[in-house]
Amino acid sequence: MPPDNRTLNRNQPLIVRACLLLAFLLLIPSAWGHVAHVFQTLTADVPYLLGTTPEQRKLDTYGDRKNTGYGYLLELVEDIPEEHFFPRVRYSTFYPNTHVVFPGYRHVIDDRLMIGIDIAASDFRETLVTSATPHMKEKTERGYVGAWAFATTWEYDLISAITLYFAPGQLPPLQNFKATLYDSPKNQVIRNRWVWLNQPSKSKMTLNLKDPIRDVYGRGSVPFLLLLENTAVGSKQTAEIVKVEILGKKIDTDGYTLFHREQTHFAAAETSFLNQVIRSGPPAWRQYFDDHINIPDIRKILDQEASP
Amino acid sequence: MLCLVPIFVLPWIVGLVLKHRHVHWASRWYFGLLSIGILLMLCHALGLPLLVTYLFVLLLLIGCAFLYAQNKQASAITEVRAFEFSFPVLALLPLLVTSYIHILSHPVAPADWDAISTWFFRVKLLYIWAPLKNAGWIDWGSYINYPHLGPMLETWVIHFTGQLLETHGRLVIPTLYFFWALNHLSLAPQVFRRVYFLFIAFLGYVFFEMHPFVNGYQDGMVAILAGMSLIHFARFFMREDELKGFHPDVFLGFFYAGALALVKSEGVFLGLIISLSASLSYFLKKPGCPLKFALRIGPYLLMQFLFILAWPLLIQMSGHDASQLQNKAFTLSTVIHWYQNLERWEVIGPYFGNYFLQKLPILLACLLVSIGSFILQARSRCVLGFLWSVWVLHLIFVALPYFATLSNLHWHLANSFDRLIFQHFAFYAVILAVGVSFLADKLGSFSSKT
Repeated sequence: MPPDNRTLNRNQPLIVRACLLLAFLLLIPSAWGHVAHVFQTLTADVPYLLGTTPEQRKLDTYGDRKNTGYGYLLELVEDIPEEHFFPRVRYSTFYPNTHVVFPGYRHVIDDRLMIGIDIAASDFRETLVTSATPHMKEKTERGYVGAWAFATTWEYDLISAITLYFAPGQLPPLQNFKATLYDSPKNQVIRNRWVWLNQPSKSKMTLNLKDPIRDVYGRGSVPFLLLLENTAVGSKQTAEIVKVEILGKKIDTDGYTLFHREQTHFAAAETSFLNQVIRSGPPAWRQYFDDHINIPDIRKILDQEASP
Repeated sequence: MLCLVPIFVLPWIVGLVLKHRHVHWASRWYFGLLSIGILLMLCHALGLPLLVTYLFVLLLLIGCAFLYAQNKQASAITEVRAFEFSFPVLALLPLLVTSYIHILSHPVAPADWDAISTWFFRVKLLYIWAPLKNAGWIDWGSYINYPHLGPMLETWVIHFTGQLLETHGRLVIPTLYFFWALNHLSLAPQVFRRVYFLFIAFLGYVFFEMHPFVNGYQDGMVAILAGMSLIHFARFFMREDELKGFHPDVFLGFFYAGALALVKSEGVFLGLIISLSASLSYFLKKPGCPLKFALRIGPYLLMQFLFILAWPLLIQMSGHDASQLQNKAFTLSTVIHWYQNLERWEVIGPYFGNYFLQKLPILLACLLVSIGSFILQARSRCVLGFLWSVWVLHLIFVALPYFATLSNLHWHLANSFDRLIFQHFAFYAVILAVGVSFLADKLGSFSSKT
């Protein structure tokens, strides 16, 4: 039974004080850490705030040419003649919603223009996205059926091919392949199916996806699931797939024409849109391209069209 | 400077309408600010034009000022001594000023992903007063998944500046921390009040992790509203009042717990954990006829359920499918069958271990004052039981989503655990304030005996 007021002994005030003092001492490091942080923040922020403009602070936060490439975007986007137009902006990692922090109300992301920020040459090529991990594998009469999971860490414009590696041993001369890509192992939504018939077997085979998966954006942590079936043609030999690699392109500029380039940044317009603007306007867009084209070949075409 | 008017001036006018003298001035500010935010949300969801909405806000302000003038005597805040008012305010002001300067110096950062992709999205939508059902024509995203009391309050502040400056909107969140810290003064003991006020100013610094209050996320707001609710329920238990008719502390406890549902979806559960724990604690303290108890607590619970239902109802009314709330990480089936993934504890457990290690000094301090109060002050047992039960239940709640998630567990934990568990940080401050208050009273009783 805890003591009540009547049974208080003379040690109790001491216990209370000790409790309070000990609790206070335990809290001091946290308080001190935060006081120091407040002081550091204040001494760093006050001169910075007084010595910069809001636009400079935005450039510092979002990056002029690095980071989100805010400075480069300002130069190319502010003059776009359509009020709500914001181009598709591609990074080699992921899109950080630059249009939200962009000034004004440019809220319609329009594919007619694509801007790339800090894009390496390899980002334009088909490269290895990731290796898939086996989820399940089953032997069938003439081959194997397997489920392979893979996650795309960054954003890809295209998932364009798969590379298969077979277990060592004799392979059937020809094989048929069927692949079904599910959106995730859980929801079983089919993204696409492919069939390859009578493919000559090799220990490592790359199969191109005729109708590739486009715009693989913002997958977070949810993996895709690839159901893969291989069967031997005219042979009893079976071939076991031991490794699957996923290939893709981070930036796909097919159908686009580059009109501005600066180090690792670029701006491109849909070729059909650019042709239309060059040929027949509208004048505001024509003026826009006139102001921003820095690729000599494109400049020449524009100048030729402009001359009577 | 104009943005300070909706932050500091107008909420008081609404807050003054609370007739009860002992409602703390910091809590009146809160009540006023949230009431304005809720009114704005309602008008926006009903599709009223911005101008009409602001006319309603003006009517609310005039009505509250009129009511206050009518009942000046009854509504007057309890006499505030100069020291009691000025010392803690001045002591905590550097926190507020530093946060403001930091926010104004740093636009919302791309590294704080959700701050842009979720919250500033909504601020921008609300700034142009785009209707709830818009999402189809604006790539800024929709209002689905999360409610938007926080962004609405940010927008309310930004509207006063006349241009879309997101930095001004974010000033609201550290202000919430400032007034929440000051509201602990309402738990003051009868004796050693000045020492207690010093202690509360000290607590303000102990718990001030600046980043969550300046980065544009809403978890800080969830944590602080939970803290406001805890303070009012704690006050109710400390005063040992009977629950008969309208009780301002119980009302405000439920009000803040309910408002949590309008900030973030997980706020629904935190709010329910707080209010149901409080209800149960009261029932255990004063057992009686369950029906009578239900009738007394019923209206308050009803208010909270109205808050909880408000969001999906408004979503449904505006043409969205409310059953699609939240993302693909959970389905009803995975939530129901969470227990099938108990082996995940091997991955989840270390996160809790790290958290307890980080919080060890604060946890020990809380345990010390709790045990001391529990043994020496019998009347503290109910409130301590209530507060610790909230802590335990919220810890359990924090673990549950990770047993049910469809996302990669490591990714999900790495990206959300810290923010989710941060939402109960206010518990530590309230329990320290309550424990110290009881112990101070106990010390006072020793002095009076000698």
